[in-house]
Amino acid sequence: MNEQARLIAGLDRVIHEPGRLMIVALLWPLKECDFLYLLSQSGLNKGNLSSHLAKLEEAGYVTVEKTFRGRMPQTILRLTRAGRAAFADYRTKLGALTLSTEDES
Amino acid sequence: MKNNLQDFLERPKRYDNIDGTGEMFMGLMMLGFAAISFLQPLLPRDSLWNRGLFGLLFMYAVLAPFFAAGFFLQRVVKKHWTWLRTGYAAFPCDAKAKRSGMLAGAGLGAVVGAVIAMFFAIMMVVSRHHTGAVTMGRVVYLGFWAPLYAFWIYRMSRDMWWKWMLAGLMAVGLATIGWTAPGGWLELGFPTALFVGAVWLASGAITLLEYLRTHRPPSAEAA
Repeated sequence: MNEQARLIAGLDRVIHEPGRLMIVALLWPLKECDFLYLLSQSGLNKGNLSSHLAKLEEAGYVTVEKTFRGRMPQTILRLTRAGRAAFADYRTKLGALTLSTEDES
Repeated sequence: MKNNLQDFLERPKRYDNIDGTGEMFMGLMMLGFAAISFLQPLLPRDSLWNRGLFGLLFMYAVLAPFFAAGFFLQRVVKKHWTWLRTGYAAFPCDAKAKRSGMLAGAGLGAVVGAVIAMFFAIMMVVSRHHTGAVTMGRVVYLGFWAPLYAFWIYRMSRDMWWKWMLAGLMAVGLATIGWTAPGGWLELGFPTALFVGAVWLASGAITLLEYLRTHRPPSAEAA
């Protein structure tokens, strides 16, 4: 297995999916946000967003807290420590992969 | 892909000013500086409030209501309009990042403050002997604000074409002030701060109106 193939194989598949990558990237600079924020910023529909969040929660990368703002239901989302570490690792690997591709071309 | 990722990482920063509250805050602070420039010459020449620490206290006292108005305006708009329409987002990610951000901000502020203070001190000394320096001081002082506003637009809302026009208007307005207002750069303080503050405030208010026009609150959240 060459270097590039090893790097590609090492990418976290939970984060690598474009929808989930977008969600994690949006959550990364924040302390927390709600479902509506991710909906407006990602452009995903409610069903897609919910299913991606469920996968991220299952992997332990995101915490989902159901609460209320007044009488309106509100879902607060936070990136966990594991989620932050996974995203940082993903970015490092992606950077290395980009560099190795540039070196070969 | 890396560029797209970077765009998503920078979105929360731009989102903070999606409702124009950041600009309105800056506008109010500039109006606060205009108030200082207006009130300070009204004080008696030998007044305690014109000297050292008391001078600083006077500045803080005049600025405080403007700062408070900007702060509460941001809170109210976000709580009652923005979070209901396009969602709630809280910064920063952790206390350590907040601390380093504050330290970096304070460091940068100190450096910028020191450079400006040095510039003013040099200009005060030089302008006593060379009238050309007065003109140069005026040009540098007036030339500072439009690029600052343009930089803000570039960082926060570069896709809003009308803000670039507003930056042009600001440059023309500042040139007019420079052309018509008498005196050195010290006398320019009031009209300049008033004009820049008004433009910045108007830019924020238009952004807020545009945001409210284009974003309706959803009936209920679905998660």
